[in-house]
Amino acid sequence: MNRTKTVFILSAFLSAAWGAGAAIAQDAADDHQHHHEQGANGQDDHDHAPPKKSSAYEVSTANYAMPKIALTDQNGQKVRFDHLLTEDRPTLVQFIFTSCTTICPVMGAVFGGAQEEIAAVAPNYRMISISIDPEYDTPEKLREFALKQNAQPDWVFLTGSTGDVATVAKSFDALYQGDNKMYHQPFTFIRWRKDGEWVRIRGLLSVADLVTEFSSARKVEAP
Amino acid sequence: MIRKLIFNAAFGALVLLSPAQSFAADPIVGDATAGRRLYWEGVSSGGVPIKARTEGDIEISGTQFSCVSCHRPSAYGGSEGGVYVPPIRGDLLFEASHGDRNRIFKELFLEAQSGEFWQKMRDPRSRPAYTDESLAAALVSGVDPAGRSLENTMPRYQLSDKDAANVVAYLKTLTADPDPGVTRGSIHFATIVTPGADKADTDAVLATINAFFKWKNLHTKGDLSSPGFSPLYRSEFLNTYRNWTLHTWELKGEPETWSDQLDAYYKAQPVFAMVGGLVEGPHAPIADFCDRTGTPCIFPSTELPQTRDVAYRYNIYFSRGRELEGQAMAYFVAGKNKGGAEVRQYYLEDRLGVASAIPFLKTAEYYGARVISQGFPDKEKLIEAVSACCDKNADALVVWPGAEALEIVPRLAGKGIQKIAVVGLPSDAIEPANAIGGKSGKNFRFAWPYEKPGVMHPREFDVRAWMSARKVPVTNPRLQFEAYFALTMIEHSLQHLLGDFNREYLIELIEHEAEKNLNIGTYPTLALGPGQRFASKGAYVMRLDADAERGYSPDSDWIVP
Repeated sequence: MNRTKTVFILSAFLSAAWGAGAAIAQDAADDHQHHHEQGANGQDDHDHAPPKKSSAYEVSTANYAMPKIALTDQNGQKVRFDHLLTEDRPTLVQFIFTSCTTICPVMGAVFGGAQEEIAAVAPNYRMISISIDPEYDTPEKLREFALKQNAQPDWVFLTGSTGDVATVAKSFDALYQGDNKMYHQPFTFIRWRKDGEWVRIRGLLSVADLVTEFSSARKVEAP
Repeated sequence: MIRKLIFNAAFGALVLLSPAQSFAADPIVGDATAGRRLYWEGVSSGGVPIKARTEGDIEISGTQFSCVSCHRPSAYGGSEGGVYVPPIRGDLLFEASHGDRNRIFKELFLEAQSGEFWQKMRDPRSRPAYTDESLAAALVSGVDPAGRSLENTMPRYQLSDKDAANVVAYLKTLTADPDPGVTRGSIHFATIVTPGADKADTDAVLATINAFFKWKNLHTKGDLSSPGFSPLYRSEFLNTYRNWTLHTWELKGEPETWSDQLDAYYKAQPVFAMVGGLVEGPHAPIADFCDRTGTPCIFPSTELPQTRDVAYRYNIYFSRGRELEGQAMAYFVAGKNKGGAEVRQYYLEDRLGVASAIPFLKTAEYYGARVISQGFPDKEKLIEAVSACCDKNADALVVWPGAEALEIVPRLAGKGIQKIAVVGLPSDAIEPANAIGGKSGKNFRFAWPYEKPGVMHPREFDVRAWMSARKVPVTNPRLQFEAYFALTMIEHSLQHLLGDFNREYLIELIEHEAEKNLNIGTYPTLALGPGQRFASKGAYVMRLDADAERGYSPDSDWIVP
């Protein structure tokens, strides 16, 4: 049973649509103030600025059947994808590729930046990043990517044959448009229990967004 | 409401003035070289990774990503995953933006994107011109001169005044001037002919390329001759049309001298890009020239591409060629013996032989094989050694006959060879082995970095029909289709450049397009990504098969070593 809710969390205390004039002017004044403070007291304002929510992302829930497919992890070891997901651990999944510009560096960084807070919520968490450019993303390339994000051992990076990766992406309903990986969407999937429903998130998240969605995934009931 | 809006805008403008004033009091002269380094590597002038915050609260470091990761080498930006990244070239930043319909034309009409993306594209994003000060301030505060917040994805950087000034100085060096090889009426391209290449193949490739140029220019002429009648949008872009001019650069003598010859050709007539070309011998001297002059070198037909330090540079290839053959064969023979294969490798010490043998050794050992490897300067010595091969322990014999496959392969005989489980060979050994027929060659296996025989891709019919209509005989489908593919990549990307004749931008568009362009059928898939330089990344291993249409069939899955 799918239920879809759409959450729009708008920047800087405002609840108007993207691009509305009032929002922009107010937003700008607000930002300028931060900047002004920075100039005035010589401190950088990153320590005390309230975290800004990302502009918009969509959340829904769904059931996905996991394919019986073996992928390869960043250490060159074969990993049965369905077995990995039968571990009873709160799990976060994302699709990336290492040469990707714009969205994957941010997606990698949000998992990387959220690791500590995620661990505080659920120490037995599991993070999985699956490459949708598996022929280029060799285990070595995945290790480099993992290193950049300061990935901890509970975060596994997967590659495999093009067909197998496509099967996995399809099982998450995350195939991209036009057979072109450059059109892939920023999806994050969260599942609290091994037989639970998946929370499906489309859009770029801040660390606070990810931790919030992760914590609320606990409440998603088993189907 | 309106009053509040005006107040806020005025307040925003006022606040913006304060950092500007502090810059004015103590003007900092930016260093474009240091700015370029920050743009590409995310390091400050002090050599440490810069810090920033994206999506509100994600702390990032310059080692994770920097300006180039989104705005790309060209600084023309791009789009990915529904996020639009605007161009940030100096000429565009330092003039007022009024939402140029033509500039966003390709994003609006030529790209498959989400509704949210289109909504953002249609927002006019007007803003006054940036100044040095407001641009430096925007990098830190994320606010543009109109007082609007930049996208959340755009990191807010913790930059010193000096580092911000350096980035500004670098962006200023990126101007609207077209790159070399482009005049008001023409765009110049070169293709390469090397000595030693088969005459018939060279002629076939050149006939294909010339036919394409003729066809392309005929279309351009048609569009330009009736601008008022030009259908739909075309009349808006008449100033972006150019006549394609082809220069055939024929290289002579030893490869060591090619680079100088290319310099001389280029000095006489700069070209915007090099396209296709049949390269017999190492591509490295040509690759060096392309990197040195910043000339995109698009899909030459070569078995010896430059394989080291190519990411984000100017040469784009179909595959790693003979190196890939060596690696795929290594994966194949090592994988056949899980406990660690005992392998003998004999190779001719010429360019082709060495190009496979060294990667083979490295990869086979990586996969746990024990390799005894020996090179021979002379083909007779190589044949002699192979005939005496091999001791009982050997699981596989791999022979790289270099440029002498035609001579050496028919003479691969001996009791030892017949007993051994696998005799590994390069792709060009398949025809001479096939020609012998009979029982010999039963254990021969061939690295094959191409599509399987008998698989038809829809585009192949299309290309054949195109050739047939232009009376270009198809005598070497692989080479001619490769040339055709290279040309369609250029054609598509130029169409997307829409008058921004920038070579880095051309390459970025090819990276983007390769995957969705219909495959010409010579490789199972052709796909690139940002910075990627080899469109096909794997190989099959073939065996002789009398029942197969062309006498051979795959003995492995697609191997990506």
